[in-house]
Amino acid sequence: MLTITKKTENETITFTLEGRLDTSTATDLENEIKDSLSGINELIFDFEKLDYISSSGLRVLLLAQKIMLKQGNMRIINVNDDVKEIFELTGFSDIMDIK
Amino acid sequence: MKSKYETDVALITVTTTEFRAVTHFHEWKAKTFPSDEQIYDTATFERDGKQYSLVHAKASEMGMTAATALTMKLIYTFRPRYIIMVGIAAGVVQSEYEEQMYGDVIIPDVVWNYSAGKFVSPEKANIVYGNLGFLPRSSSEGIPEQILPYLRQAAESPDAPGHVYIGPMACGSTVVASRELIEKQIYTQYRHTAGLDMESYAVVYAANHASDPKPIPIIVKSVCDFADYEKSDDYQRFAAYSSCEFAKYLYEKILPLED
Repeated sequence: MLTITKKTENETITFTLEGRLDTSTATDLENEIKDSLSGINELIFDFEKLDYISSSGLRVLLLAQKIMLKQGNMRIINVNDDVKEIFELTGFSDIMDIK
Repeated sequence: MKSKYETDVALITVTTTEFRAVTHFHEWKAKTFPSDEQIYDTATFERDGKQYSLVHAKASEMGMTAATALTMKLIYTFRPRYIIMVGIAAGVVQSEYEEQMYGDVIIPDVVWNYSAGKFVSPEKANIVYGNLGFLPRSSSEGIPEQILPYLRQAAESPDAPGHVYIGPMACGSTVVASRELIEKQIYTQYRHTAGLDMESYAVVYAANHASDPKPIPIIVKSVCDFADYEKSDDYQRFAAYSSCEFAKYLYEKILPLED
């Protein structure tokens, strides 16, 4: 189960995720992202309430980063220890802006 | 009735990155044997309230020779039902429908050795590299038919972690960072090749030609680069992780584990 909250301020968009970003929820996030990034130059993911991320979720982050590399920046904030461990194990902590 | 197999699943890796990814997913205990320099790690997993056995070993070097030797040792020492190679591969899917991404899983239904052949003068061959012609003598091994429906089921399942391609895996002796080789030597022989690696053919060949009870070989590798000039190591940890995650899903949820 994943709750996605979207907030747009000028050319910045923030997605706040609550729950699990896995195979069953990744497509929902991917569709939201694809529908929302036109004219955006800063994309922020707030992971404060995200409990878990799987490879499917990581794939969505890669897709988002691919789009934002052409038009601006992307960063991930408020990552908890469990998700941080996944980012370190997978090397995402080296290839993305994560706090 | 006692099973003819002594271990349920054997996992085989090659690089340190792949080894570290495997260690994340289970609590492993090291196991050694006198007069065998190889270190094996054992663990268990649970399905439907029952415990099943795992063993994992890492090859001493990249390439088909070391992979063959280790596969044979795993087979004859542990008699596994399945031998699953996990790890990283180059993605080479040609598709007008979707783009292959880092971390996407490749499960071959056939593995083939593209590097076998003969170098000749260029006028004698259709594949030419500068002043050298290449006459391919490729060979292939199939993943056992009886397991393919399970692999397809896993690939299509909404619960499966990761994005999965099922298709041929090309296996060769060298690291490839050239689209020229892909275009001339890979697509011309198996147009739908999904990935490129350096060991899968060895593992499948060794399993298919082992004495009974043969294990069923499965390859689960994830895309870490696209075998071109942009090749880098940046996504190897992610690819290793996603392949292990999918392999775990396979043996914990999908593969038949009883006779």
